[in-house]
Amino acid sequence: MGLLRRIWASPSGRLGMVATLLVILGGVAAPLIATHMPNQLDVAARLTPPSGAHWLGTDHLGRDLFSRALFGTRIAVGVALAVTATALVAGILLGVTAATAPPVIERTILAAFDIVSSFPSLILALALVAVLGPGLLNIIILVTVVFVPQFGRVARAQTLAVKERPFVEAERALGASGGRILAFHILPNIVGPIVVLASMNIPVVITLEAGLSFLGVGIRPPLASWGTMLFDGFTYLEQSVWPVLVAGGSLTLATLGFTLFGEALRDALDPKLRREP
Amino acid sequence: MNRETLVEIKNLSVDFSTAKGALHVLRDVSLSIPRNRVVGLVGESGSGKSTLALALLGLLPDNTGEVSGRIELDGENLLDVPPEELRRLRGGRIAMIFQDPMTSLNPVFSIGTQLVDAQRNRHPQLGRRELLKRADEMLKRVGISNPEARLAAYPHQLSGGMRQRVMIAMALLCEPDILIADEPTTALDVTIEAQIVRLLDDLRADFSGSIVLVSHSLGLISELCDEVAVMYAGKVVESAPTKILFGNPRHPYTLALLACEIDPEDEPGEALVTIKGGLPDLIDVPKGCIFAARCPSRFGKCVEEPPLCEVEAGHKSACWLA
Repeated sequence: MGLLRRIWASPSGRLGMVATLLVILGGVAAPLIATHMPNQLDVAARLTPPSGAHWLGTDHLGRDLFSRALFGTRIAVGVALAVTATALVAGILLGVTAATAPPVIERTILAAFDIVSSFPSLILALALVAVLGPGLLNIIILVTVVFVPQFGRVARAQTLAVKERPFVEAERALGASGGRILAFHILPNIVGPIVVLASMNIPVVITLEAGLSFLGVGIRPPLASWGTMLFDGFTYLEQSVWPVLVAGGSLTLATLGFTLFGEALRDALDPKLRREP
Repeated sequence: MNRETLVEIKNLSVDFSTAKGALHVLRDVSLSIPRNRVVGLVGESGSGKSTLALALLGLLPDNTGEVSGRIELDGENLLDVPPEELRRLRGGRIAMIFQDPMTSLNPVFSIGTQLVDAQRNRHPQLGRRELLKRADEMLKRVGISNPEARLAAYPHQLSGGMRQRVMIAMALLCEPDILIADEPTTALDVTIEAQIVRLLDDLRADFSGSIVLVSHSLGLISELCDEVAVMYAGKVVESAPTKILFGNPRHPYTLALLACEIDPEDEPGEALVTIKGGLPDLIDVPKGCIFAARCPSRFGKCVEEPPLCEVEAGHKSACWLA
């Protein structure tokens, strides 16, 4: 609880926390809050501005933008969390293996990381879509691949640093096995920076998924994704600005919230920046 | 005097592989550690005393090359014991206190958790509650007040002296037959050092195992040890019961070390005594007596290597003059 209080103590942390909570709550409670079904058509009211019936207006098929934005949150945050969690676990596994395995395995893993991260992430994602095809599950898999190396590199560097620390040798002198040292002495000492990295990674995944969906290779219609909403709105921009505003606004709120929250989390976890109460 | 041997080191040689060739860190070291005694290992930095301690634990570094000789614990050669069994010996029959208590505890676990953990090789059948109780009693024994509160504390909340007491408690909880203390007071300030020395001295009385004390401080060694082995450039050059060694040193290196101790009677401004020259090259080891190059009393015979010979009962020296 002390950690959340420290995040709350900084103004930007407070903003990030509120925005993040709003986005997550919106996604979780979407079916309760939404005024319409996300795919419910109302052809009579196409591209209308906000009104009593449609709080944030409608899109080119007369679908309620407020409800679609809420359900889009589920996709955006769901994909971001799934990707980050998978990349985090895979990254730790590969990074710790690289740091402790024989040089051949280490070099293989590092070379794989280098290959993946030598492509701009959007280009690599596009290439992988071409191989796997679009769809929710494929998007999660390929975006994960894009993000594994950064977790892996941090995990490896941290492990290399921690395993040389004297308490690891002290533990070995007390008869701890290699596995025990990894699980109980190295892992708990490396997760801090990796968790911070993960929280900063969430907004990046959200924009990447939206970007892929905007380009038409991500989430397939009629599933409500901010990226597809943005693209549809963009097509009809001359007739109504509301679809773009709603999708773009949601995207901004989510990425800004998670970014500020991540930065505040990093500062709160850094003992050097910690102010004594 | 009952001199039942617990550990017998016979002709132990250890090489480290380096880019320039094999570094002969230990050469033909023989030493016996009697049961229930405190044996001091003294020597300057790089003399191989810490490597000897690590060899006893079976924790030689990854770049270790050839190892030959024997380390017998109750007659069993530790160099032949499979790694998994050796691991069980550590924290069971052999335990170690490290030099720097500030970094030798895991920062993310409480003292209690780490003390409980340390005992699992020795008492696998006991539950966490019993182990915590034992840890509590041991903290009291090593002079930590309010042990319940300390068990819940994290390492960064304790002072250096307290952490070293925790390290000592951790080692003692393993009830080892042999306890290796590698410069246990080097990282502490003098007042705390004195307290820790007194603690070790007190514990010696009711500790049933042997202690190997590695140090470069002759004062600490003379205070605590029953026997001393002086090491130089990977060899034991002199060994004897403490009183005899300090009363009647027979090796020029021991004499030189003793002369280097700071004498408070000296006038301010007077130059400190040093041993001229540096450690010999341990990759391309010079022939003959290893100390000859720095020895004030060398003579013709020193081109041959002197063996470690008994010069009087229990007193061995590797010098032609001894």
